Amino acid sequence: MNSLKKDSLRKWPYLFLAPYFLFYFSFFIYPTIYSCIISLTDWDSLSGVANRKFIGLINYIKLFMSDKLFYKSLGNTFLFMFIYIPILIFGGLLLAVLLYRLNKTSRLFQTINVLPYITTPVAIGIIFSFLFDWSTGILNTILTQAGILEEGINWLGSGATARLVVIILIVWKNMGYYLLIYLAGLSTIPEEISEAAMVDGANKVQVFFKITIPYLKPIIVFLILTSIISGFQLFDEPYLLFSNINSSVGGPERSCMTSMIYFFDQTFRSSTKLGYGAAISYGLFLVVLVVSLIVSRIINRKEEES
Amino acid sequence: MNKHIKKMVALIMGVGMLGGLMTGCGTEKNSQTEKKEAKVEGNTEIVGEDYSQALPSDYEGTLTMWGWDDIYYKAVTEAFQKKYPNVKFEYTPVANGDLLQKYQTALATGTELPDIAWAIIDSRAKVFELDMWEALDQAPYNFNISEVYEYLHPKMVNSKGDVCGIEQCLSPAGLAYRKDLTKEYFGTDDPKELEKMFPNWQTFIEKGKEVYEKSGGQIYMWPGVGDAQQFIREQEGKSWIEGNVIKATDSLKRSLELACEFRDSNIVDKLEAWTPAWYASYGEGKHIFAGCATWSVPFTIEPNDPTGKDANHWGLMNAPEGNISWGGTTLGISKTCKDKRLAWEFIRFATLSTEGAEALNKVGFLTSAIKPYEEKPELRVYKSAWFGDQDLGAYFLDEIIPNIKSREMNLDDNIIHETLNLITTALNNDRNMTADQALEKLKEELELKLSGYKVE
Repeated sequence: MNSLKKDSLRKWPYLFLAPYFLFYFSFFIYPTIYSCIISLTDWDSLSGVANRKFIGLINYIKLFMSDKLFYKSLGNTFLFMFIYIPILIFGGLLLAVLLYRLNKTSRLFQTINVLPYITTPVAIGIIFSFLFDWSTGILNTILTQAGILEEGINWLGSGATARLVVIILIVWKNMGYYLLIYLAGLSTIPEEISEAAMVDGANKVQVFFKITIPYLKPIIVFLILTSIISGFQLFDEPYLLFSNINSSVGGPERSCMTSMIYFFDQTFRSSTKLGYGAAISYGLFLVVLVVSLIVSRIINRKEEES
Repeated sequence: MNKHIKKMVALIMGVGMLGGLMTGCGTEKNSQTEKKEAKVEGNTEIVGEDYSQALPSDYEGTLTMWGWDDIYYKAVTEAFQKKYPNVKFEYTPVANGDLLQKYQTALATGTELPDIAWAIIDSRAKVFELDMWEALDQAPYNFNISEVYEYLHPKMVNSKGDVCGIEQCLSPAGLAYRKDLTKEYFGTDDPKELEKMFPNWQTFIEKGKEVYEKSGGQIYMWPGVGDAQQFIREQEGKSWIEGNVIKATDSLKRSLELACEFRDSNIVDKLEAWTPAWYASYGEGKHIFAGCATWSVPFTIEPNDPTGKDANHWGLMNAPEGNISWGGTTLGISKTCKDKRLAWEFIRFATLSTEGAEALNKVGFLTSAIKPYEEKPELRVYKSAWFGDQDLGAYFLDEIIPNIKSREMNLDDNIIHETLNLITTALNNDRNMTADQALEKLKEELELKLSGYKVE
């Protein structure tokens, strides 16, 4: 009798967990496997699903051996990440520490910093187009009227400055998120430890490096890893700036064409090659995997050393 | 060791979840292949395949549509519903640039396509190759392409020669000009006199230099080098692709040379087309000329020149060296349409009938069909409060259209167009870039993006 009761009880965990696993397999595992299968075909929307053929690794060979635009997009993505991730990690930390110490106005500044993060991306694209327009942009108007520049800069018209604008946009938009995470981390550090250190003669800089940073280390590691992964998914910011009818894919000199923009363009915009598009996404997946392995190795090694 | 394996598995799973986010869902099922004729309930009297007869006015049905032009949609559907009050429309707004992606995704996943499918010119060559269109020139529709203006014919067919859609309206383009500025700098605001003054682009450049000097560099002939180049390249009427060869030098070199001359002579401003600053320029009175299609009047000029209403700000004229077909959207029937009989009735009404033409005329569009203008000559008249007394309708029909050389569509035109944007942006930014360098750069970029072609 007892064993029967036990048997019926065993079903319940499976039943309760089933919906999650059903969704997980339907919306994560199945599409992932199916996309892998697609990447081994020559599926083009124009010829239709019925005419697609299995072509083995040809898409991957083309991608890694001869697709210069893929490497260019990858290079652009790495460049953006190398610049904006350190700014966000260190800038967010500094800002959080400064705001954490403010008493009366900390809420106000926190809200101001978080506002860009919750602003609609399309609105951000329009705001930045107005700010950085060559002939009518607010920034050029200020710089020329202040006598700093004789003639306005074509911010969105040349490769280097277009990249700079994208980086400014990313930092401006995401700083609030980093700030929130750091503030949450700072609130977990016991006040007594800092106070005891101060009593023992430590100054603010020493407290910051010897107490605050070590306490925040797990959060910093989390932010670095998630930044790298989201960095490979960078799409909205450069896409919004260069999405009008007469823009080229990825802006001037294709300087802001990230891997995700290239994937989207090849699959749905300029071309209709679903098979090759799937190969690009898996190619990118391999790159993300390798980079994540390297970063986690470095972090783990440092943890073991310490 | 075990710990490391666990970490590795966790990492791969984590990255795998990211991969899952990047990939799309799909299904083997292709609804396009399903030969499913839906039963139209409540219309039992409609039998057979004779699509030439009009439907009874109490006909009931629903048509779905994806589109981006609310003004057009409202004008034609409201007029249609006056004739067929029991017909309903389900309209889904879609950005015109997203259309190819939306159709592709629907085809790939087997989800429903709209009954009435739109196709904008930018991606039309590709969209028309998708296996989703009813051939309107074949039974039971039997549409005769000669019913619409001839210059539109190459833009309504796919590579097999099937008519996949009928143009919603005419979209010829000439030049719009600021009358106050032409009067000040050229002594006249009469379109005929201006056309005599500008028989070709060289005289345009020479006059532009005079304007630059007289105005102290404050007034320009054109807002930007990109849209000037786009206008000039379309005048050629030459196909960009022949077989497996992209004819870059033959069909695009001259437009790049003229674009460089425009830039070096300081007759064009630096504005990038379709940016907020470019739109705002229509109200600033700093640019004398701009390309002007039929749709430019209600979409570009009127909303961006708030002081221009009843102020006789603008005029319309033939462009030096000919006019172009600019833009345009077709209406077609998808293979999965549930009531093809009704869909054809609507398309015929919207694009070919006199009643449809009247509805279009009210919102400033000119129907693409020839017959309505013969049946009701007043449909040729279209005036805008921004253009004084000038009859824009008559000018487009009688003056602009006869001077259009229409270019044949090719599958990868959209990629060449996009690459040209890259080049004109570079020309605009780098004043030292020559036309030859621009052409070489164009060829290099095309070889990267369209590696299957030979680029000449």
